[in-house]
Amino acid sequence: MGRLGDLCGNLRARGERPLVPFLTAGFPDDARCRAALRGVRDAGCSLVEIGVPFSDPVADGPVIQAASQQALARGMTPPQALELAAWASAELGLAVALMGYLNPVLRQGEAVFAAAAAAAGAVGVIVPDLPLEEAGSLRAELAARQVDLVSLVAPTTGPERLGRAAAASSGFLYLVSVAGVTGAATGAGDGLENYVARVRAACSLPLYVGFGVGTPAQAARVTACADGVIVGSALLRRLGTAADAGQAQALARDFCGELRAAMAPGPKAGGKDRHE
Amino acid sequence: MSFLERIRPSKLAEAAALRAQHATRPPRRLPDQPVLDFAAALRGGRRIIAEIKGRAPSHPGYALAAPVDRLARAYRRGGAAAVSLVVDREHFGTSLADLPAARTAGLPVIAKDFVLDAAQIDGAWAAGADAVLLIARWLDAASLAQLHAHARALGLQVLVECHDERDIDLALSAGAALVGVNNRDLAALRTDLGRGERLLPLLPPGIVRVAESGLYTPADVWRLQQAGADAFLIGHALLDSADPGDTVAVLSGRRPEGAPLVKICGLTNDDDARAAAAAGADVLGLVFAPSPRRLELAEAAAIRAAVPDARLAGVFRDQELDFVLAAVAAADLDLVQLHGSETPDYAAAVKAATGAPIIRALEPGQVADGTMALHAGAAYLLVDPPKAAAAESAAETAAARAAVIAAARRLAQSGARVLVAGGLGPGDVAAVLAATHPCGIDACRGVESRPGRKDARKLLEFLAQAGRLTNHGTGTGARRGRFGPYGGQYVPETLMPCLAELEAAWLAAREDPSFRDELAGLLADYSGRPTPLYRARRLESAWGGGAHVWLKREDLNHTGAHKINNCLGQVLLARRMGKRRLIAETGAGQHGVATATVAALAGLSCTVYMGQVDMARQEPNVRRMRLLGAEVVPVLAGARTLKDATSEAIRDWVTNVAGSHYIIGSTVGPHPYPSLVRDFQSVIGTEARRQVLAKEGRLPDAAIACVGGGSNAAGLFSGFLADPVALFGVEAGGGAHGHSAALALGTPGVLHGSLSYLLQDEHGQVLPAHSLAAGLDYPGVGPEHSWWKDTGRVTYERVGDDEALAAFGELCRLEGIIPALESSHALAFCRRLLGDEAALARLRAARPGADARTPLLVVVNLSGRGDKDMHDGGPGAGDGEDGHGTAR
Repeated sequence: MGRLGDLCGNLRARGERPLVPFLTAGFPDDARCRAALRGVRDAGCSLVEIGVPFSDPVADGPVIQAASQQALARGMTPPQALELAAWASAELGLAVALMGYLNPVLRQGEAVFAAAAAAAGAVGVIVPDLPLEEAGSLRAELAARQVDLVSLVAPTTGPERLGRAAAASSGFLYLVSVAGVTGAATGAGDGLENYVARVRAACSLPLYVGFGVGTPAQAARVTACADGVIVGSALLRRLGTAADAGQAQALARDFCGELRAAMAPGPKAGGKDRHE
Repeated sequence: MSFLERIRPSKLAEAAALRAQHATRPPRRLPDQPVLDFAAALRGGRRIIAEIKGRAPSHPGYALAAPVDRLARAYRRGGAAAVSLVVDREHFGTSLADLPAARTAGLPVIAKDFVLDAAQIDGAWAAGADAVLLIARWLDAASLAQLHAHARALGLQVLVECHDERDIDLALSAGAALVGVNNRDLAALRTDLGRGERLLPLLPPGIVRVAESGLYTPADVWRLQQAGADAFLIGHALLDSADPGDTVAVLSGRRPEGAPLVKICGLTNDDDARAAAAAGADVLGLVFAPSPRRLELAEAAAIRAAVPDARLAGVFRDQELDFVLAAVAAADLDLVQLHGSETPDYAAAVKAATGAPIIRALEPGQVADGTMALHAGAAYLLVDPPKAAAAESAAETAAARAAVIAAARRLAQSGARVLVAGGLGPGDVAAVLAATHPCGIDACRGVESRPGRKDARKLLEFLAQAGRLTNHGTGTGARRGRFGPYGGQYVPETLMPCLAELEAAWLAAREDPSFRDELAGLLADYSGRPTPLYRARRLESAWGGGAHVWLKREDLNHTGAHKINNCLGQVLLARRMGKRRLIAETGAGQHGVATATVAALAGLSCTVYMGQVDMARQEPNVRRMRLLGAEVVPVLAGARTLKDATSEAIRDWVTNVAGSHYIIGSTVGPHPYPSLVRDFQSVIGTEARRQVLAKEGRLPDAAIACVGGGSNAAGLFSGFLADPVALFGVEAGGGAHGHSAALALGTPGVLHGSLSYLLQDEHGQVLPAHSLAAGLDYPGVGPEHSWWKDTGRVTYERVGDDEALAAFGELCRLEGIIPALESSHALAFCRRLLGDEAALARLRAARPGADARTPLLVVVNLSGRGDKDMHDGGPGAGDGEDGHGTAR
């Protein structure tokens, strides 16, 4: 188990169900992206996903597609995204999981990427277009550097694959909430509780739910059955309206604070974070 | 203390002794030992340097089992590019005294020593080495540079071995042109391919890059090839192999992993041996046992002289050991096959004397539980029916075959390397492979025209049916969905179960006669197949070259292009899977129209994604799709062309996976699509082959098709892969705004679910493609084309916008056929070929039984018609007479 596994294990031991915000590196621009990371930290989040933008993100809906295109147009590159991750880790004390598509990883070479991710302080890596069958070599490279490769499972994943995903994954297991791309309006739909229970029966890892989770009510519902909530499109949509770094920081802080408040077990536990 | 430090004192002593010896007797190299170009042998991709050593401190259980000269030749015949001989008797058991034996393979030899002193280099030079090794880790900068210069001055190449960044700096400062990265940690003796992946990319262009140590499988080799390695120094994977020659073949990619080893047995003459070798057989069998095909030693020696690079197996039955050894020597046999009651001790004696891997032949009745253990020393167990059963009644033959299959399965399941024999031919080999999953197959009578004479046509068909001329992606035992390294399934998890469902439906449908009949009926009665093969005589006169140009008229299909072939097949699959909705992407609109058409035919709803740019330039097709009841969704992302439409179609599929089937329009995407689409398009090649044979009485010399994703090309080529027909794929060279030539100018990467050649930038972002032809305007290409490119089976060329437009105009005016802009690229290359005397001469020379007066035959796939291109700004918008026709 790598450093993400340690972190998730500790969170679970303390009974915490984290909110994991997703930010596209370099979106809306470098300054506002860094400010948003500060805001996320201000809201009390300890783990973030930083997305390395890719030209053809087939698992992403319109919001993250547009964010990726804008970041790329402003010159964001994989090395710069790693630099941003290193900064968030060192300066803000955030634990960073990198989310990125496979081709830029292959372009660098899996070992080179793994070494660079570890050097940047990343604790985990998520590759949405790398299914179990193709993931062996990258997983080994990352594991050698105590970085976890997070597996994704979907509502379409059958019992046999679920077992294999659970056995292969480390850190946490990423539950794609619905069949669909990120930012889907129907995230955390009707069958969520049954779906989580089905996965829980096959897997002892913490279960974090993402794709289309974007409102306090959805976050609260996910928290009631799962171990963590990942929110991306809803946060990026707000950041897209930030006029400057100050606004970006405030928007990220307030939105994440709101979600965390909804996720907190007691009625008042979230209040402090919200106004910090 | 590391190994290197431990041996330093003894190496210093050895060098001192050499220096003293050279002082009295200066080193001299024999004049008949020219220095071979080691560096040149390593260029060109996936080259294997095969190692020989007597023993190894890192592998205490290992000892060299074959004579050095025979092992070196086994390596060459497996496809090695060079030999590495470890020359350190004290620690590795082999020395400079073994160099002449290593040189008998005719390959460049690198002498691997732990060099501290120029005298060691002098010694290697005198003994006949072509290159030496310097270990950067062991030397300071000055000594490394000095020793490097010393070797170069003698004409020797130098491989500088590096373990880290410091070593690489040193190597480059010393002027090294060949750099090896050793994956072994010299302190811990542990190997880590990550080291090579980290260090190899640091080497500047122009340096020959060698990966060393820890390479055991084709996947290992591929991994470091991805990191930029040109050559691979391989030791224990070969030295510990039961058949080192075959292992070289597998690691070098000559025999794809999982594809069966093919042995053609009972060769009786030079011509047949050459034909079998040329067809791609891995092993040729020469019979010395009593048989109608029995050879004298002199005849066997003559065959060896005719095919010096082929792997030969001698077949014996209860003969004297001395005779076997004499035959091995006379024909330099690589393997020995024992067919009688020879004991395991006898087999061991043959192996000890010759190093030849043993093939132990067994009848099904001899296979029992202890069989494998009894013949543990044999490299292969060959299952052959009893001779008496051959050529009896059909029922007896079938019974004998069933017994062979049962015995072979039993052995294969217990882990033996099994070869299956017994009258196999092109018609039944695929079924036997599927039933037994053997390591290899053995054919004799089944590939003969009459007893004792092989038939070149049957040999090729046999190799093709065995899956050796093309990788069918779902081949027995091969990595599923891979064409060499290419292909795979790189998609979001949500889609994985759905791909498995599709693959199962496709494999079941292929075997289902009712599915085949229904599809054949639709192709004939709905689409109008077979499409004509038309000889374009006026084009021939205009273009010269003295060739017959045959156009495969896919433009005459219903909906005006080859796309309907695939869509009819896939809509039947969709129906079998109970899907109610079709999704498609389209570039030129031809695939979108075909999908909308089959949706209407089957009563399914249909959504087509099309880039906004393409919607404008292929407007008639947009109207057609809407008329057919499809929803056409404009895609505004990226360059707003085919790539972006494909991404959007995938997103729709992920979201609506339960009720929708995604009909990919080309041989791209995740497995099983590339194989499935090729299968449905193979009707083009099957028909074209039959038609050209009927009209000309012989096969064409060349076949040409345009390549975007590559489906019309894959369809045409699949008819001729097993034939001696030159195949040309034509990519869009574009113009001032860029190109779409992924094969010519791209590098391997992952887009839309598979690994293939791809236009991408230094960071792995996909680059926009450009072509006037919307159907070719795509930055990727089907994975099977990548494999055909790497294996050299297909030649890929580029044709630009202007050249395609010129050919477009000529076909309109000379033949009264308006072709699609996509197909015009294939036509333009045909014109270029007919004007290229050197290329024509090569085609003539390649023709079996060449007669300079008979005309060349060229088949061009006219994949679609050009009505769709009749829009503002398109080629049909000008005055038609010379608007574009005279460009270039």
